[in-house]
Amino acid sequence: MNTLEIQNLHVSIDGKPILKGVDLIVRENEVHALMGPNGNGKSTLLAAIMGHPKYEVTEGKVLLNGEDVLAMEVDERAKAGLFLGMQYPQEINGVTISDFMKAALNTRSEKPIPLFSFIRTLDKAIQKVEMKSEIAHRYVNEGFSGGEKKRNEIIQMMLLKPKIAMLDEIDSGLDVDAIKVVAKVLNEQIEESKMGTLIVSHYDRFYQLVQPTHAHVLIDGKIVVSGDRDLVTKVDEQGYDWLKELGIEIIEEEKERVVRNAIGSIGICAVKELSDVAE
Amino acid sequence: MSLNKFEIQDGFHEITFELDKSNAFELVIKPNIHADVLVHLNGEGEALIDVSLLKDAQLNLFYLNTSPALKLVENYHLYRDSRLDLAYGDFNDGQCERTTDVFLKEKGSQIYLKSASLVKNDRRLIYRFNHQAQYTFGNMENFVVTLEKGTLSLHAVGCIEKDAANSETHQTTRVLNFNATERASVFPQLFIDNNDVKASHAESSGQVDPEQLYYLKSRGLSGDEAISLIVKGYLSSILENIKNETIRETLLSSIERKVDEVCSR
Repeated sequence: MNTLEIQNLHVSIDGKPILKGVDLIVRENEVHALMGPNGNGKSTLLAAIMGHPKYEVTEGKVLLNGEDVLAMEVDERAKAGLFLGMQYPQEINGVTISDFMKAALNTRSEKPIPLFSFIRTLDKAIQKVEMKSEIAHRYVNEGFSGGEKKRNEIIQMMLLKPKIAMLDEIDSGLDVDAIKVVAKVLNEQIEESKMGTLIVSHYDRFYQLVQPTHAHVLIDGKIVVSGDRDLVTKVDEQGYDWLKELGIEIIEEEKERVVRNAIGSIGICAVKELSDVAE
Repeated sequence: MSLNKFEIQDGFHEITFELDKSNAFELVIKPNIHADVLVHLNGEGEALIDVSLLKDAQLNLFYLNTSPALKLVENYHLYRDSRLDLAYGDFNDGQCERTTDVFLKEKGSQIYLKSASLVKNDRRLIYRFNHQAQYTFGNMENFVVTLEKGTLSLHAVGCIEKDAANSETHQTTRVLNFNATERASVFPQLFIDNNDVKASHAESSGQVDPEQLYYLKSRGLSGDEAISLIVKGYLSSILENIKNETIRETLLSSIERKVDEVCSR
């Protein structure tokens, strides 16, 4: 049975502790809802499991079917069967979805995937999330709306068929109809491949469509309460304030915003520019 | 000096400039001619290239540089309402020195320049748009990847003369580098003698974005595979708007071959 096991996980960013001892087991066929106010470590947990270079694991273990995930490179984690549907998927100029996915599938197999079968598989996945076939030839996420980016993450999940899928706010940016489409695909994939799923979402409507078997509340880097579907309903109706009665302090932070530094170069300019953009 | 003169007709043409044999090339695009021309630069040496686009002519001109060492002076003369789409694919290992002057001589003429360079050696480039008439338009996009001991000096220049009111000149240069042994100097310059114009420049230089790398690796691509895909994509930017399949395929396979060669080391 495919199992992702997180033991006493401590994670820091730039020396600042974010996760302070998380224990969690996600088995195949299970759907885990991970909730909690912003800034308490939900995205950090998912990114640390996937191996984002910014997150430093200071203590604890992550095991996939008993194998040490933390000893693996990011790409090895993906090949071992982990998938992270990202909250802010990257734009990659010049690289089409088709080329990207072909490379991702080819690196998993001894022989290159036959072109015709690849095109058919990709097109089927695109149809399922109700996008146009032409999207295959567009550059990865470039000029995509928020919703298109999220659907593109789902397309990738369908093609890569992970053992354990982690979805970070995959429903944000999607309208009601699109949420239904994504939930349907997710349910089908769980049904077909027994995929285990760890979902971060703030919205009960998504959890109504993808019924969680387990639910957890993460506060200040620790899972403070676990339960089943009822816990999701309780959080939706009452928020997190009731946790205070259990002696838990609620911390809510502004989300970190990533600002890229601009790197310019020397230039001379004999006129006031109308636009002067350095990226 | 031996002169090779070509009068280009409508349609697609593939020409090879043998620099060992000749050092002056002249292309004339007569009025209303619409042509796609792929030029292979072979051999080594110095050469002068002179291209004229007469009234309403449209030329898509692509250079594929496979020369080990060359020094080029290129002049383009654009007459009324003509349009030149100029693309350079410099994927060779050799030295390259090129001075390109585009003269927008008459009203309504337009130049769109795209260059993609893999720099492993000494490369000195000057791309200059000379706007001499009203309502002329220029846009330049340079994509550079520096490797190993590559040294690049690129002057991107837009000059709008006094009589060239309502003209526009724009330029973007992006440099991707991998380590400290590479040097890239980009000099964006705008010289403008008329108040009624639009002009812009943008430059960026840096290493492969670690967030992009992480994203690609999270789908199973190794670091090298991810970099190779990003570099191919980056250089393929010059293929945008190229409709001619032969040109697309030739440039694309050239990019793929070269990048695979470099990234598999």
